[in-house]
This record gives sequence, C-alpha cells and structure tokens, in this order.
Amino acid sequence: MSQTDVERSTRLSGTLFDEVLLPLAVDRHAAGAALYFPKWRDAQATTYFEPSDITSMAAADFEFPGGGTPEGLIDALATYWLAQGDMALAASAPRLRAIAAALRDESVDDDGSVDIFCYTLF
Amino acid sequence: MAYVLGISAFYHDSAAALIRDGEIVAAAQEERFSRKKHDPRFPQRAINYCLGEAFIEPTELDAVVFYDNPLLTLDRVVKNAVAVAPEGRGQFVAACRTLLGTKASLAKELEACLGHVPRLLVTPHHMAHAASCFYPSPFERAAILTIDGVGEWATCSIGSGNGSHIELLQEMRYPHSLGLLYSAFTYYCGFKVNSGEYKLMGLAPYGEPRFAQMIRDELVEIRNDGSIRLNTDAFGYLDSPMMTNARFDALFGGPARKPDTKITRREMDLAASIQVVAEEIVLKLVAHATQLTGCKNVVMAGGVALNCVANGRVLRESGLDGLFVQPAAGDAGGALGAALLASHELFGAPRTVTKGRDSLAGSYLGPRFSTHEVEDFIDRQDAPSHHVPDADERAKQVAAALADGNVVGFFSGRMEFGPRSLGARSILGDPRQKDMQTRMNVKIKFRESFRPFAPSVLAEHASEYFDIEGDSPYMLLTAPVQPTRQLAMARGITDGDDMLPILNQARSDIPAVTHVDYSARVQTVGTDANPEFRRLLQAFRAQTGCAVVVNTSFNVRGEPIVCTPQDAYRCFMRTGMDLLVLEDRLLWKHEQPTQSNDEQWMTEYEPD
Repeated sequence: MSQTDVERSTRLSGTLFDEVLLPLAVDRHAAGAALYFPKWRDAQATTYFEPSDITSMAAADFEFPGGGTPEGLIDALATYWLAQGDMALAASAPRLRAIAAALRDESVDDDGSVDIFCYTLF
Repeated sequence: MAYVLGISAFYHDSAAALIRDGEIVAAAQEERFSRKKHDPRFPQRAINYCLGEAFIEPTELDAVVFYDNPLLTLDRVVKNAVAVAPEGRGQFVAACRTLLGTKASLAKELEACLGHVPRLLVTPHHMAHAASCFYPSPFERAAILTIDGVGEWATCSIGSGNGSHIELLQEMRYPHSLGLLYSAFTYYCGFKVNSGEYKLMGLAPYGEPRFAQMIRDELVEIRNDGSIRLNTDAFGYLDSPMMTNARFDALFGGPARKPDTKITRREMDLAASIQVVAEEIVLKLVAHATQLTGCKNVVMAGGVALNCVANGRVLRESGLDGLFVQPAAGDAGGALGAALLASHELFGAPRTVTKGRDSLAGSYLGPRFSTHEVEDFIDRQDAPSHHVPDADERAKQVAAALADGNVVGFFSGRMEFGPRSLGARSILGDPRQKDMQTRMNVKIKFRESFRPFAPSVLAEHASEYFDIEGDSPYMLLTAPVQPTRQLAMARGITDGDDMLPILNQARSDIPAVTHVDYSARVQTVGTDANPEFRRLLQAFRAQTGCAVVVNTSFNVRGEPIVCTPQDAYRCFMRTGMDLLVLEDRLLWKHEQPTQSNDEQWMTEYEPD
C-alpha cells in the first residue's frame, strides 16, 4: 500500500464533498429548501416525536441492503435516493463506487474503529 | 431447528450472540477475547465461541443478522454533510473510509470467518435494542423504550411488545438525542465519549445542579412527552471533530476539561446538572411510553438505559407494575436483539414467558472453564494453589478471607454478557471497611478514587440495607442505603474542589458501597442464577452478620473484564489482590512466585 493509494480514497471523498455535496447545499439553501433535519426548537410543535419508519418487521425488512458488498450497498442507496426524489444524491453513486474501489485497492487496514470525536456519524 | 447468529460490529463493543429457536445459547463481546477494550472489529473470536458453545458448524447457521442498517446510516452521513456544508468536510472524509470500506464489506468478513456467506439479514438499530430488552423480559406485554446516541436516524424509540411480536410506534431523530447530549457533557468534563458516561454519572452526586436551568434554556427543549430538540448551534458533533464548540464553552465558562487533569467544582456541578436533566427526560419518556401503549410493564435498552441512577428513579417514581432493563443495553446487546428478532419474527420461534423470571440466565452467557481446564492451567503456570473441591468449605474459606480484609478475585462459571460483573468475573471486598473504596480504586483498579463501588446483596436481605422493592439482578438500579444505616456527613466540606475530604468520611456502616449521596448500585443475588456466588454471600453473612460484599469488575483501568483463567491470573498478579479463586482452586498472592519482566504492563491498556 503506497501513500499515493491512501491519498486517492481520501482525495475522492474530499472531491465528492467539494464538487457534489457543497454545491447541493448551496443550491438547497438558495432555493429555501428545508434542511434534512431541524436545528433547534419549534415553538409550534407539541411533540418532537415522529412516527417510526418501520413499525414492525416484515420478511422484506430483514433483507440486507446490497448483499454485504460496497457496490451492492451503493446501488441500493442510489435506488433509495431515487425513490425519495433525491436525484442529485442518487447521481453521486458513481463517485461513491469510485471511493469504495479505491479503498479496496488500498487494502486499507481499517479495523472499523471510529474516532470518538466523529462517532456520531456512525 | 433454526440457528440465528446476531452480530454487532464496526462501531464499538462488537459482539456475537447465538439463538436456537428463540432460546439464547451464547453471547459475548469481542473485547473479552481480543483483550482490546470496546473492540469494534468484526467479532470473529466471539462468533467462534458461540458456534463452539452450541457444537455447530458455520454451515448449520440458518442466518446471520446484523444489528444496524448500513444503508440508512450512510444516508444520514451524506445528508448531514449537505446540511452542515461547507463545514464538516473532514468528518465526511473520515466517515467514508469506514462506511464504504470495512463496514460495507460484511460479506467478505463473513466468508473469511465462516468459510461461506450464510443468509445475511439486517435489523434497524433501535428495533434490535427493542428486541434485546423485550424478548428476554418476564413480561407477556410491555411498553418498550430505547434511548441511545444514534442508530441510523433514530435516537430514541417507543414501542410495544406483545407475545413474540414487536411494534415500534414513535421515534426521535438525529441530531436530537439524549445520548449525544449526555456524551457532550461527558466530553466537556474530560472523560471519554462512549465509556466515560459512567464516570460522569458517578461524579454527579459530588456536585450541585446549578447549571440545570441553563441547560434547559440554552441546549435542550423538553416537551411534556419527553421528546427533545437540541440547539445544534452549541454542539460540535455535526460539523467538527469535537462534541462541543465555542458557544458551549461560553455557556459554561471556558473550554472543556483536559483528560486526567484535576476535577474541579465546575465539572462536579456540570455532572450533577446534566444528570438531573437526563433523569427528567427519562421519567417523561417512561410516562409517555406507558400512556401511549396502555401498558405499565416497561422494558428499556440503548446506552442511556445503563444510567442506573435514572433507572432507579423510574422504578421508584413512575408507578410501574414492572421494569426490565437489558444488562447489555449498549451496542453489544444489539447482537442479541437482532438475533432474537429474526428468530421470533422471521423464523417463527415461539416465545415462552415465565412470570417473574427473565430468560437471560443471569446474563451468564459467555465461556466457562471446567475444573480440569483450571487445573491444567495452574499446573502449566506452576502456581501454588489450594484445591478445595467442597463448595461449602470453599465458600467458608473465601468468606473468611474477605472478612479479614483481603481483596478477592472471583472467577466462577460462565462469563457475564454486558458491561457489569455479576459474580462470575468479579473482584470482591468487605464493604464494612472504611478504606476499602480508596484501596480498591487506587491499588487494585488503578482508577479515579471518586468512583463508587457496587454492592452485591443476598436478595432476601436487600431491604435491610437498601430502600429497594423487588430484585435488581443486573446492577442496573441505584437505591438509597437505608436511613438507619446512614452516618451524618459534613456537607460543607464539599464546597471546594477537593473531593478527598468527603471521600474519606464513612457514610454508612457499609461505606465502601455507599456513594456520597447515600445511594448504591445494587445487585441482588437470588436463588437461581449463580449458586456459587450466592453460597459465598451466605457464608460471609454467617461469619460476619453482613449480607453484602463489594463487587467490581475483574479488570484494571482500560482492560476488558477477564475471560480466561490466564487473564484472571495475570490481572491478579499485577494488582494488589490478595486471593484468587479459580473455580475450585484458591491461590494466595503471598504464595505465588515473583513475576519478572512485567514492569511495563501499566502501559498495555489505554486509559478509559
């Protein structure tokens, strides 16, 4: 594993952020679109509970998305985004695949550890 | 017959659990085998143990169930990045590394471990938590409450369980999370997120909740049903590699405490304040859950359910008919819940409920070692030992050692599943001795001296010592020490930064297990789960009149709880323990050979 290889997955992830996610954020902001989540209190709300997405488990709900491979996961996520109408996110699937491929090529020795300071992302 | 293997991994506290037709066969955390605290790696060793316990081959597994949906987690990470951009770039890059690498490659890990990829299933994170507390509970019907940091999008869920069916009704969603709120204060007070929450809870009784109203005004909006919104502008975790930020610092008068620096009055008061707020939220959530479901039996899981002070208040104040908290309430328990859920809901295994008795078998779900295996180990080690095969005589000798002030490492039967030691892998002491808390903290556990120890008490004598109704077999509830046993303390000396004056005061006639607010985290030891441990408590009472012992986990700071006789002996030899009980063998420290070339061991484990 060379340093260059390691930098490739990092670079691709950074590029995805810079070239897709950041412009999307700017566009959404300009269009006055709602954030993906509220950022503070809502004086009108009587409760902050929402209905559960999955209330009970049907057989289909147990199916592992994408069969346990990075490519399968990304394909399933892109389908999910399309179904939600998140076309721009769905269009980022090839970039996500490229990151996954780079990580595989680098044979990143990652034990799944999560930095405690960004653990909320996991 | 259907065998279902549950897995939690790639975050923290990886674990595996094996279910056979709805019955728990085995469950264990990877850290116990790998000796890496909170090990997040694929739980290969734990899986091997589970399969071995059932005497089955990997090909006999009907399914493997993962406890968290990686699609929804990746969805949240990407959408969080969009929400906070242009901030959060570094966080996103770091997240991609794991979410598109290791965590996305479960099939590869399974093939490497099992030789093939079995039928692979998934459960939503909070559904796994819900299953982990409902199915083993002693209730046919129950309200379900799960609270943690975050799993996929959910941070808290409320549901109901009926027979072998679970239904989730409502949830709160990221970034609004009681678990993350508590973790933010854990971080700010200089403790490690994901493991230091327990320390913060232990620190709280030293302080006054003078910041509680500020927390309610500035950081968290609490609705009557317990649902919350956080002021995300004051937290760092959405867009930076920190839990809190400058705005948070400004609220509480400066930056976060640096780890392992002196704890000041501010941290004590912050701990007390967030604990008060957390308890308020949990009590409201429980009330809402019972109202929503019409059920007064409540089951709880998720990391916040390990807050035994809040749990104690729930038991005392919520007017419930019954409360059951999953002892492996954190992510490790997700492995158990995922497997149980698939076993019951997908494979149709019936659920049998025994009234008044859960199906966790005392949480003794891990490996055991036979007396022959122990004997072989001792012979190999050439360690002097005393063979005491008669269980009653053994209990008498160990009880006498405790009564003489000795600290005892106790290794007996199957290892516990979950973060608490419950008498299978425990360090024990006499709670009546005034210096026992400091001695065990500083000379044996090598941890902060303020941290309290828990009592194990014969169930039928619990009310003589503690104001507690019912059983607490998993050490998940705090209860006040009976007022007749309490000794007056000079509260004024707590006004300063120094905790030692109050620590050194005897607070009751069992001071080693009485916290500074006269509370204790109680384990009641009944007749069913652990006869060997119960026999010891009975012998101790017969000799001393005291039905209580100090019970702390068999490890040192930063080390996973011991699993094998080798682990136990190593820990025994490195610490100030006086006696080691390895099943039917007693090993006295003063008879052991001096250990050589072991001076560097204190750097072996990263401080927790």
